[in-house]
Amino acid sequence: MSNIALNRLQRECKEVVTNSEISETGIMIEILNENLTEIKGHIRGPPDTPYAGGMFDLDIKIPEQYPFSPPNVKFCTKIWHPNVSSQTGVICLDILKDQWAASLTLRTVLLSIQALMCTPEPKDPQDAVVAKQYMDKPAVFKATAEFWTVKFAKGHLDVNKEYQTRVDKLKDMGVREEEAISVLSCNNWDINRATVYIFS
Amino acid sequence: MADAHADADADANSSAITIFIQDRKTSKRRNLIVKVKNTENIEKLTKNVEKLTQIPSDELEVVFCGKKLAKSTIMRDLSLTPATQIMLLRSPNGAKQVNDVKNGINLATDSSSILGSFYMWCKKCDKVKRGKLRVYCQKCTSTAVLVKAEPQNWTDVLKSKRIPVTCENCQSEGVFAEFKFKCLKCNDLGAALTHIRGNWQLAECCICDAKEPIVMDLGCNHITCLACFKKYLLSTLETFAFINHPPYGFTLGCPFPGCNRVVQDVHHFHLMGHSEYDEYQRKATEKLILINDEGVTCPNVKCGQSFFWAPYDDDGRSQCPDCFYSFCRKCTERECICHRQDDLTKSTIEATTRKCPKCSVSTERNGGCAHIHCTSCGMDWCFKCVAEWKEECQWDHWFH
Repeated sequence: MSNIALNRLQRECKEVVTNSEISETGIMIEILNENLTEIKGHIRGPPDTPYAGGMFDLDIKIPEQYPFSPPNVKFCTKIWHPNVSSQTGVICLDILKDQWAASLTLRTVLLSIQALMCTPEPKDPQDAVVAKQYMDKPAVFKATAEFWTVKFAKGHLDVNKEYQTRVDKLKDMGVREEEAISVLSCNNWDINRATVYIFS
Repeated sequence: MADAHADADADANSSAITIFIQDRKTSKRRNLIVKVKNTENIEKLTKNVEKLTQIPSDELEVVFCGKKLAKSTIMRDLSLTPATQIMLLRSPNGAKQVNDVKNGINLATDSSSILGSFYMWCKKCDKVKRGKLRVYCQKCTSTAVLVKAEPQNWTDVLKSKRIPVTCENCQSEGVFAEFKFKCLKCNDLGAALTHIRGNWQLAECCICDAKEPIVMDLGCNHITCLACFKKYLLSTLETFAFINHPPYGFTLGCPFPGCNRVVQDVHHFHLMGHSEYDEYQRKATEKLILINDEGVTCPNVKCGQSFFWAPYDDDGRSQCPDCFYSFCRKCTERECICHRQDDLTKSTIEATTRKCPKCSVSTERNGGCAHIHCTSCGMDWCFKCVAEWKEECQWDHWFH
């Protein structure tokens, strides 16, 4: 990694760590290796969203060309969001692609992702199934996103009992919990369709 | 010339300069060589000239770079070289010249207009150097000119026929100034780098936070240090992510997010280094040829020249004007294989790629959604429809 990149990263890490941002803004980073190529990001689910109360972890990989190429950022906590793949955690955000600018920092990236959690952009989705649900059945979307937050992001809300019952039914048929949640969510919690999807 | 240089080097504080006297009282002209010291002022110069020519010093006006100089101007501020020519004007009726700053410019206080904080790309020094602005008559290239109006901005200096002058040499009517930039160090001519400026406020580079004395500013006040800008250029060159931005050509934008200023003069790309600059030029030409229907790139691996094919090449074949390699424009082979079925390369490319509906560049999708953003022409298209990306594609072609 070049000197510019290393100096930049050291400063950026300090910027996020020393600000004790987690209490103020709900973002934090954790350094995983000495040469700063792998970093863990944490975003607290913003209040008044289905993600409230959850803690979301992100994998940040710093490319050789940083800061002239964007960092590679994806969710490692599973999240139900139109602009994030429910399978892989890949994020669709313009500043992580063609709108990246060399003067953006890890802090601005995490804050932008946090803003994306508050206001999804279903017209430019990463996960079309989620986006469709967000547009057509907003109530189901909200309940599903909350369910995912409780299950995967240590959210402290009460788990949706009805949804949990359906997950348990699939589990009884030998389906892994994670797959059961995923398939049910994609099928608007219709257990018959979910069963057909899994066993056909 | 070489000797003169040696002299100047031997005695750094003094140099011999050429003086051109236009005596408007007697309508005579003469040239003189005068030795001046760096610490002397213009008044001393006119006194010396008086000794040599018997023209009273207070009847002389000193003109340099198209402007009258104040008598208090110090020679050092003119950054003279042995090749410099200074013009002295004697007033027609022998009237005394008013000896004050109001009538001339004092370089100690108003140095920006001549010496300036200009930067230029000096080929000889092979780096960004401070430059000095010099003024010539556009018609006869003499330096014996006096500007009729002050240049107000870069356009006045860089575009021709903006600033009218009176030329004492050719005395033509309606002539304009021609501005040139010379390296302060080696005196070679070079291209002005209009985006480079001094960092007066010692502001931080928007990429690395360093406070460097010389910075890039595309006119938006978002500053970048030259080291970071060089890196930025090189990383853009790696994937040739320069955007075609007429009339500037293939260029790149301000590294500040959301700022849409672009580099307006590709001379700044010299910052990358020789071979990289050459590579930039070659690839920019190639790209320009690609987006033009009549453009073609020679498929000969040893050549790669880009050229426009002539309309009479209507049999589908062209010959490279550089290496004379003759080939089929469609399959780019010497022996056309367009109609052969057994070409593995061709069939593999056909099987794995689809052509951009705008520029026809073969595009492989190695992952992600069906939304393709063409890196060649910038079109957004759907890999399933092979047509412009629409909202229906957004919903229906996601997993295809």
